Amino acid sequence: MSSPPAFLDPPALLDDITLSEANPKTASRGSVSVRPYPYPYLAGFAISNDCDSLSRSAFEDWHAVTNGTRPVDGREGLGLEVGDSFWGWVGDGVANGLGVHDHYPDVEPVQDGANLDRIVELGKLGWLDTMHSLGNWRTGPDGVHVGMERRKVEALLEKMDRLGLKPNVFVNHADSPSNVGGPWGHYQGGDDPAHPIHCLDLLQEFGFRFHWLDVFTTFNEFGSGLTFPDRRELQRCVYEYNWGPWIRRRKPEGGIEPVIPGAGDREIRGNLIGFFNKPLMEVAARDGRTLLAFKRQRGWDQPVMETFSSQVTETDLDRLEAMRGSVVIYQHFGLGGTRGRWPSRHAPRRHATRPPVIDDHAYDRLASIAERFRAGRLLVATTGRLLAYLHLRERLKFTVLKGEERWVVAVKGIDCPIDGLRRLSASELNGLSFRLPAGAPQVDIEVEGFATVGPVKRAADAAFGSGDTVFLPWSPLEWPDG
Amino acid sequence: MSKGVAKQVADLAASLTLPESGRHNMVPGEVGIRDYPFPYRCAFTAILGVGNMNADRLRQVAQAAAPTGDSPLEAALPVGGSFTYDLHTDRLSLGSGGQGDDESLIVELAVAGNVCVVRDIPEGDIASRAADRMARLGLTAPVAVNASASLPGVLFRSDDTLIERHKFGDNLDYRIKPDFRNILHAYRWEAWTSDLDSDRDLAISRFNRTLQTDDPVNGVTAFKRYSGNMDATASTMPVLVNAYDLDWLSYWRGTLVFDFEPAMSSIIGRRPGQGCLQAIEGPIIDSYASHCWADVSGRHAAQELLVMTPADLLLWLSARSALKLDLEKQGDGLRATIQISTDNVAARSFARAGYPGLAVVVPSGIEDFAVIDGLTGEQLELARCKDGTMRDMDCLHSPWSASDRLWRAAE
Repeated sequence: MSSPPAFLDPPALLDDITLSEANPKTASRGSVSVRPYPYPYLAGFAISNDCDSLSRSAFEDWHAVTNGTRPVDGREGLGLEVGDSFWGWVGDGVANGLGVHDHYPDVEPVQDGANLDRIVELGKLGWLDTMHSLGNWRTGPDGVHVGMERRKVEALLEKMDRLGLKPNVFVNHADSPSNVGGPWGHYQGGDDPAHPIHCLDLLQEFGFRFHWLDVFTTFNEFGSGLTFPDRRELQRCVYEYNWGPWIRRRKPEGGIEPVIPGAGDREIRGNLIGFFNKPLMEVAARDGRTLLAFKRQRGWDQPVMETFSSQVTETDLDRLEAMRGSVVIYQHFGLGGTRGRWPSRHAPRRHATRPPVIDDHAYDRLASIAERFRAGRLLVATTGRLLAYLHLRERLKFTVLKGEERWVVAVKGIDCPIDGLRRLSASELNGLSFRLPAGAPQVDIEVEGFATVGPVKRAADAAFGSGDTVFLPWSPLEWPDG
Repeated sequence: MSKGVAKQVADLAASLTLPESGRHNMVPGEVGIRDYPFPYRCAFTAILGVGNMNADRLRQVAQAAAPTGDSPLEAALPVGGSFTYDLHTDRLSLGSGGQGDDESLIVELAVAGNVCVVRDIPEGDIASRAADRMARLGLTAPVAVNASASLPGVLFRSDDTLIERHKFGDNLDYRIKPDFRNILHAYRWEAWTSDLDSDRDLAISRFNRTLQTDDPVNGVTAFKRYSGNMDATASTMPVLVNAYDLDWLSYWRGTLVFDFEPAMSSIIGRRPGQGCLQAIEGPIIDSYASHCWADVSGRHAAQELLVMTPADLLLWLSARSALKLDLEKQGDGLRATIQISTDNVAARSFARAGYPGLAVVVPSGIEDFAVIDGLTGEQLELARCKDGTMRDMDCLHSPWSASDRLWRAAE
């Protein structure tokens, strides 16, 4: 008789977790370390908006209010850097949606989507940095998706490359076969080498660096990379954490089975702590490649426009700032629905939003977020740009040359698990900040591959302990409504 | 403090047993008083605030709670109305949205049992005047919220030190040990005490008991109520009383006493006290609140969630813990005699009302089983059926209906 599957009990395994194990660390060399966020920010915030049902008019409306600087319907434009996503193939059912193609992948000849020009315009400016998987497939009479072919993915990515459309964030979508599953995968085809649409290699070669997998959904834990103030709060959060999805997976043939995240106690412990508090995790895909996966905060309620104000509360934001964490919010501003009810059981059912998309409650919260950004407390950036800094802060390779009158922080590059050691791109210099002792002399920053960087600024900075920060100022995106 | 809070919580989690956790103790496989009238498995009541409230708005709440919309207030789903005292007019009032002419309706609904909460009347001269006014009208109120315990008829009292902000429901039966352990560690004990070792009993009461004591102090029992982590109003109710938490309430067989301002709006997601409270001018039930009420009343109609007035729910909770069963074998059968503590008002009123909703669970294998009224020595006429919410158990029960009013029987 076989013994029942053994599921881990993470709270018991982490009952003795220490602050030093849980709290985030950034790359450092002696007394110099990468500042956790660009100066002067204390915490990071992004909205990862899935484009389901998002029409062009709803898209323009919610971004005009959120990103723009002009009044919209009597409301002040909030000037926030909040990006959005698009699809490769929209498929039927979304009127005037955001896709490179509006049709399903099996349709020939292929045609440009009606909003492709706008997607390319905003994509080049950095606002559309996320693909919501590759899109939607038609289901054939046998229940199998039609047109799952690698060559179609190749053609799509080649087209995007040609157009200069280079998102670097890939988020799974419903049951799209192009989704990526990692060790928890069961239906996802993107990283399954046996699946006809296996394409993770193509995605990474194209430039996708950050993946959201279904399991990286958080419910009652707001934020990652949190600095816990004491053992009690750490303990409370470890026991409150929703561990279930991390330690099991569905079997393709039905039922569930344990997922053991590691080969030995040490590795398992490290990964559990990572699931608990790291904003970005290395994940082994099923084709042997390495993914950088990030978490999205969903909350228990369905993530639609009506629930944004309870998904992101003032208490959550205050705590995020106080604990120096970062969060990527999982939303669908293109969808409306119930508040506090099961979408499957309670009316009204989900429906596409129409302008004005943002209700008073959501606007109040977005306005608060804008105020926190303007006050220099909460860095609000597109998902890709926030993740890029979080990636950099842990993996930056640099040395510090200390002279009597001058120190030089010499940046070699980023030790990336996907690319290996590589030089920084120009965009990665944005907001680059280092903490150092207040008594350090003049400090210059040199970055391999760049003749000069600058202007380098310096300020006293008590946000992460005593000392100073030298930094390249953060430059937010500007919404093209001028 | 002798040791860190983390250690104190760990020690408490290691030592606290399920029977002392605040749940209603029904032992699997043994005869016992069921936690709720059959076949319900959890209970809900709403305590209405008096901000901007008036007769018309009370009717709107009652209609939302009774989706057919044609129920008179007295017969509507029994959310309990509240009243307060207006010092300037020396009159009782349903709230600040009225014209000072509420008293006859208050008396009418109090007689019917729907208005049973007096609130926002501080101790001292104002309480004395309010008590005089209530006496002149022949009015009593068993439930006081931020109101003096000296007001006529008060049996249960809660003030703002007894508001739960985080945990949805009390008397929850955390029967799965790892879940119980996780919940004990995750609970925000610090909201109640900074020293769990010395305040252990208080902290446990606050953790999971609606009624803070089994023994009333000067005839009054303190109770805890839930308002969530934002201003509880018409606009936040759908978030604070959400379907997910209601599902857990049912799963853990708990009780929710929800206190909110149904005629006020506030911004969702702001901290309590910072929600920019506003009086609602038009209809007070928007589509989200309407769906929330429909969810609550739907669960009630499905006989899962028992909705009672605050007075009746608190009396029920008090009675169920005061009733004891003496078991006696008779041949192959078993007799359970209800023993009532005569100084427990709730248990007395429960008996006087004829035990409405009484439910006794018994292992299905014990076919010859009877329940005897300890006061009269007579066998109670109870229907027997399988209890679908408990494995291999039957239930002997008398029906509970919305028109049963334990409180009226208590007087």
